[in-house]
Amino acid sequence: MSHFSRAFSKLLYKGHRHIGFAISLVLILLSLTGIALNHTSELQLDQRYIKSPFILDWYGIASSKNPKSYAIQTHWLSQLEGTLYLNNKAILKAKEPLIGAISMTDFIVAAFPNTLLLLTPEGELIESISKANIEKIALQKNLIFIQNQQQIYFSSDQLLSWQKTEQPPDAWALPSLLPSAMTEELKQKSRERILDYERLTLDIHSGRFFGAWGVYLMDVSAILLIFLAITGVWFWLRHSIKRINKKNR
Amino acid sequence: MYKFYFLISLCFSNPIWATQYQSPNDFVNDAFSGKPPTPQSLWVTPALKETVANILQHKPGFMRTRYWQADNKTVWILKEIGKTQLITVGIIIQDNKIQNIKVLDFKESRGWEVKHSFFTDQFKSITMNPDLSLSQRIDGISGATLSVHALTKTAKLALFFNQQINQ
Repeated sequence: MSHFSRAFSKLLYKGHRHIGFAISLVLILLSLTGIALNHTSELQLDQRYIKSPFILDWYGIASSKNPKSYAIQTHWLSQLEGTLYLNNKAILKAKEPLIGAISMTDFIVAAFPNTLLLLTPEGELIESISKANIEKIALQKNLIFIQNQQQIYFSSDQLLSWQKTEQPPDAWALPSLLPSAMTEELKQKSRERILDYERLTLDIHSGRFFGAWGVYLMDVSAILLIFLAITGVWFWLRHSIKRINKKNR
Repeated sequence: MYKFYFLISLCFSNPIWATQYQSPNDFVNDAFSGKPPTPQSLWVTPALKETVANILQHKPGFMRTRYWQADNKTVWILKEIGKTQLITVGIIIQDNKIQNIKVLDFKESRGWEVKHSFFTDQFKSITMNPDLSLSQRIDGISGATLSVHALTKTAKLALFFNQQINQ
């Protein structure tokens, strides 16, 4: 073996050791987050939310919007950041904008442009009813009215059937201002329902959690891992060839 | 609890690949030749809840389901999760046998093959055994296992609900 190739091999071997040691932490991080991402469903990573103020601040997550709320008898039905709240309790996710709510003794109806939700007074879903282009909802004399593409319909049987009418109700459900203490509570709760563990794990895995430099760090680590794999195989092959040669002598 | 919340939340999320093949109203209209009866409702009472949960293999995300009934025919519009999204299925039951099953709305990104008649035709004339299994085996589709399960569950559920209202 020439002096040059010996020096090169020595350099490679030294590089292999030092680089291996240097990126070991990154490798452990990648492996752990990779395992977690492979089992997202089992670990329910997409259904659990980060509540740590430090991480939420790090992501710059702040719920600045006010909820849209409807006063229904003694309760409030509100929507904030795609979540529906009955008073201060998150009851379900609803991506469509809430356009009205009414309540009767036995149930609450939340109206969305293409859906009516029939809820128990405790906020449990009884039935989700598809109905296109709803604009308004109202309650009058135990009849539920909706306006849909300039047509008015009413239901007298808990939303099972609808009849057309020319007579609009006296007043449609309008949003009201939620008390400030509850607004702040909802904003805090809403902030804690934005970032799920899957997003955080993905961001750590890709390096995005640490900003733009984090991504570059993961890129460099990936390249160095390739280097480690190649040099590792090279050393193993060289060692094996040497051993075979020794045996044959 | 998280899983239940997640299932309910699916009712209101529409991914960009969501496809509606037929509206539930049109399906019901077709089933009754344009003259559908007034819908009725079946409440999932605590007594039914356990069986419904057994059929769906999870806690039901609803407390009431509507159906249409005339003569010996009932029509059901049921929703069940495939992998992560809801599949809306229309089922016609005539004389306690499935007459037709149709995928009305498909929000999953995979498994849409279940909408084809080569698959749904297997359900025709199927009844429910006393042990809540279907009277015939349903052949699966490679790559659409979860959608096949979802349709099979809705078929069982419709037959079970049909039994309940005819008791």
